[in-house]
Amino acid sequence: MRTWTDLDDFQDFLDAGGMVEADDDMPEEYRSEVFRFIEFHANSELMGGLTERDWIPHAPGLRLKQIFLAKTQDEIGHAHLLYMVAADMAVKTRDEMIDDLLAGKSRFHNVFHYRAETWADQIAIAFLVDAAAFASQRAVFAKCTYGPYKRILRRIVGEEGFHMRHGEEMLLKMASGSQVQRDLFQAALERWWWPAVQLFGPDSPPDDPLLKWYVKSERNEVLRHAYVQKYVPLLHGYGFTVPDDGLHQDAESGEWIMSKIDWAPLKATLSNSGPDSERRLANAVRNHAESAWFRESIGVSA
Amino acid sequence: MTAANIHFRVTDVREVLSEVMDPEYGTLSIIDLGIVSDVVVEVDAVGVTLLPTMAGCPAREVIELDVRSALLSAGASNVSVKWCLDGSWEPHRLSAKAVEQLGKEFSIAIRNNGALPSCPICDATSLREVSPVGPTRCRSVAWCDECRNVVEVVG
Repeated sequence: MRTWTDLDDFQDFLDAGGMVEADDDMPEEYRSEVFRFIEFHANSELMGGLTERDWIPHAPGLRLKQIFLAKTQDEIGHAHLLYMVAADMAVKTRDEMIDDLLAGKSRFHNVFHYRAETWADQIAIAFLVDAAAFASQRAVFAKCTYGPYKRILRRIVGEEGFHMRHGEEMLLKMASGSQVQRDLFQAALERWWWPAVQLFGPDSPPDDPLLKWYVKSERNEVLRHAYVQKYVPLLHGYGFTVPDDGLHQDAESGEWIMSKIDWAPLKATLSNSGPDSERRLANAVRNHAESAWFRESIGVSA
Repeated sequence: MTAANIHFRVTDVREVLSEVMDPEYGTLSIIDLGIVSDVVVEVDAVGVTLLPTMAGCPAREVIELDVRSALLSAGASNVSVKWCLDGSWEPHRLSAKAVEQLGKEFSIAIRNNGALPSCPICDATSLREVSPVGPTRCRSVAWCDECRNVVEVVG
């Protein structure tokens, strides 16, 4: 167990590339910020997994059903690992985290507060949203000073990277399909583009403790900008229209510049009052109740 | 069909396959993971038999695609990939390098004749199984009471 005299001493340790372990006497500020971050990640994996699961019966064909089964297993499994590490930080127990989530007292990623209306929405999620989540997780893994979290992220990042291959493959199929398929994807793109871009969050505050403590390695706006530079040309290349009238390429730098982002939708999701928050949470509550017999049978609570 | 495979040997095919990486863990090759069970080179075809870590492995299709394209770009003229689904993959098929890397880089331990191994992070014999599966059905989830880390266990 290591101890630090004060926050400056701790900061020197982190600045020198130090990694914090579970039994270290870390500053309470660090413990609570890292805990909140991991809890948010765990909640998001769980809510994401439940969405994937809902689409297993609707996935067209055995092969896609198998892919969605595996993705569901991945996401729920990731939540499981993350809740273990979060609970070990002794801020909340696993039961408390699950209870808070189901009671609408916790946060999870904005993208899981919207309804996936058609199969094309699932493809837009796999292609756009998974990619945004992957970019943001990879940036956390890059430095991540909390050892037990970084070790799980090593596997999560690899597995999410594999999901992106499926997203690209499914999009290619839609893009090279009939006009009906292309129209379906265009409509889905219009629903998911802005939530995907907003997943990175508003610009990082100048004194963001998560950046200072190297939980995040990059500012939100930098990740968002890089994402837009990659995905706008890709979508254009497939012949789709990005739903942003003000989107243009800077004459000198060639960079893609978006319209000003309206952050009101993101704020609504953070207080669990997004367009589909209520139904999603009710689904999660029902799922938790319906699977109680299974948890009991293997002798665990949450 | 041309007899293009005349210059291929089994060792050449294995060499090419050692560059085909696991789709999730891009630093481990399918040779190191012990997934390649047989290679046959004939004048008109290269045959590869693969052994999945479990029959329902969701990465099978992508691995097959990667094997095929690696061999075709290396000049093989006709590639046939078969999967052996009798469940005979065992952890002992992992190379020493794979075992080392799975432990150090991915915190994944390999079960020892059915018993829980020591923790790949702190080496203590303090792993405790938490659940029979986690993010994938081919690994169980364990917790190390000594260093307080999550470890996944193969086998």
